[in-house]
Amino acid sequence: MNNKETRTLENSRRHIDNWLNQQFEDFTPNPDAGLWQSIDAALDRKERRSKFIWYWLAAGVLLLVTGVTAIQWNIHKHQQTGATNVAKNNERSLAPTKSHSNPSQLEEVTNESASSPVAVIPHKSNSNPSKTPNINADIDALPQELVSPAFATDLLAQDFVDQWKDDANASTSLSTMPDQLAWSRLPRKSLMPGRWAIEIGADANQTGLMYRAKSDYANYIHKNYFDRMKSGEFALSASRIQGALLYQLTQNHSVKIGLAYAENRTQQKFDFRDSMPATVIQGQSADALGYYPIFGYLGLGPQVKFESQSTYSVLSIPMGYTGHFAWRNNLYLTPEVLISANRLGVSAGAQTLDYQTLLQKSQVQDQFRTWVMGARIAMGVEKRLNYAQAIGLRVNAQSMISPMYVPNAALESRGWSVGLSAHYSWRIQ
Amino acid sequence: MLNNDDIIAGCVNKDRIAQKALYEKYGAKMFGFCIRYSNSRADAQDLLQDGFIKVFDSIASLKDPSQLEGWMSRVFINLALSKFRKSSRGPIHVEVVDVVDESDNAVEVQSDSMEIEDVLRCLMLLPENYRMVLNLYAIDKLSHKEIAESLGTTISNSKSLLHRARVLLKELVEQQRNKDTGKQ
Repeated sequence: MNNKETRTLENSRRHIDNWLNQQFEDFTPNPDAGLWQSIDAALDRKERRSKFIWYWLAAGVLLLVTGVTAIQWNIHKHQQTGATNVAKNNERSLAPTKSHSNPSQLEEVTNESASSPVAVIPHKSNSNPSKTPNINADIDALPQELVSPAFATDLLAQDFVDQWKDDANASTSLSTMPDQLAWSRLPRKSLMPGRWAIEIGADANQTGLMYRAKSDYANYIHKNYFDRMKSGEFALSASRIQGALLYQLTQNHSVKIGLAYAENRTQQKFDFRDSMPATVIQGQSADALGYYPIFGYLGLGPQVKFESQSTYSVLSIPMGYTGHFAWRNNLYLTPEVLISANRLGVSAGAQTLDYQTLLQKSQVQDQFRTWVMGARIAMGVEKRLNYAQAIGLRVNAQSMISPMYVPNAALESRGWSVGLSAHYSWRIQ
Repeated sequence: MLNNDDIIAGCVNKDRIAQKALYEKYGAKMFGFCIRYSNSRADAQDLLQDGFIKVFDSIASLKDPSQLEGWMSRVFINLALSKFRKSSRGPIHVEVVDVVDESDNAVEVQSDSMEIEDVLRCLMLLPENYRMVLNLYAIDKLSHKEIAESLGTTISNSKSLLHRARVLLKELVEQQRNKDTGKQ
């Protein structure tokens, strides 16, 4: 103990409880001087963690809203499809039995149906599969007074378009249709292409750090450093929120620029005793963090035992490419390749392992670059809710391209994360 | 110098200056608790850190500011008990010895001078459950009923553990004294 105390009691025998009690009376040993700093840092981490929970909560709410919206949309769609089918069946059963397979036959029907309240849409073109009608021309060609509102709605309904697509099967007339008609549920006059879209999203990722020695400085790093980092460091969560602006270049390709904020956490646990390095200073140059080459190792060093969480906050400007490729129904595959300029912030109080001595070391902002470059690739599925809105999920992987420590530090470390992101996009019309 | 009311009010508001003042005022005293309940100084420091974080978290629940020190002691003891329960597997069972009353259980030692470091060394050599019961009963004045509830054991087990702890501690203390006498 630091404060040695000696107590003299009366020279007689006494009950051990009383003796013990008296020995510890006013026993106030001093804890290590640095303990308050540890408590202070632990309180900081706790506060950050509670703040971090809000980010997770926001990401969770976004995922929940996205999921619920998708489910509701599916239910709504199925109900609509069911109702349309019932209506069509009813119409077919009530309509004249004569069926036609091309626009000229359709005109005959319109003439015939002057006295009939219901027009019949041709569904299958078995008699002449090579001839594919142009849907827009057909609609325009129809006498307006003979097209009932129900007919017009039916003509433009998704099911009808899908049937035509099946029938036409890679026909030339479909390629002349507006791109948006293939996935829009809105009337044709609303199908003005909006090239700009806004996207908001959130990621829930797992994160970690990669380490390597810079080639010129390999002998500046303790021989056991990488093993220790590998065994002691655990990946923790990374949450990220982002807003972005997309510009659609073609039907399938867009470019994107945005603003994102992420907090990446890692945890270190170390409990070991190791050799101390012997360094040469004279005539040698230090790396950017002030460390010198190690020429040998001396016996056993002090015991190193600590736990720490490091949080790197990253404010980034991502930009790059996003694709939209039709997959099935209203689902689109959405690959994404982005590069980003990231402004790096290191949490106060974070501890790490000194790569020269293998002792605990505080991380300070000065050891890190302010800006690091990063890259992100993602692949996902997007559901078009209507012409303007879409929701989607992507699996993403991202990593820093440039190292986090200042240039010419012997050690290069880069953060990485993989996980799931959810987004909502809204096309500006 | 902040008084207890100011310190408590500051700690409730998560004011770091008040938290540090509380640590500076009671840190050494609570470290005494922690050392008695731990296997090593390093464990005691871990316990002290966790204890203060717990205190800062729950200080709003302290009703009577005049009871601050007693309340903090209880927080630290509870934390030590909780760590002990986590480290020990299942309830504590010992063979019940025939303990009739306290007078049968009386274990006496010579009340010669002894360095506190040596006392602590002896205490740390005790098995953890012995040390727990001895600390709780002899120094922190908990009843066997409270100890039994805290440790998830029976009252007779608690009494039995206490008796064994006293006997073993006496032996250790006497060994230490003989060693010290030999040196002189």
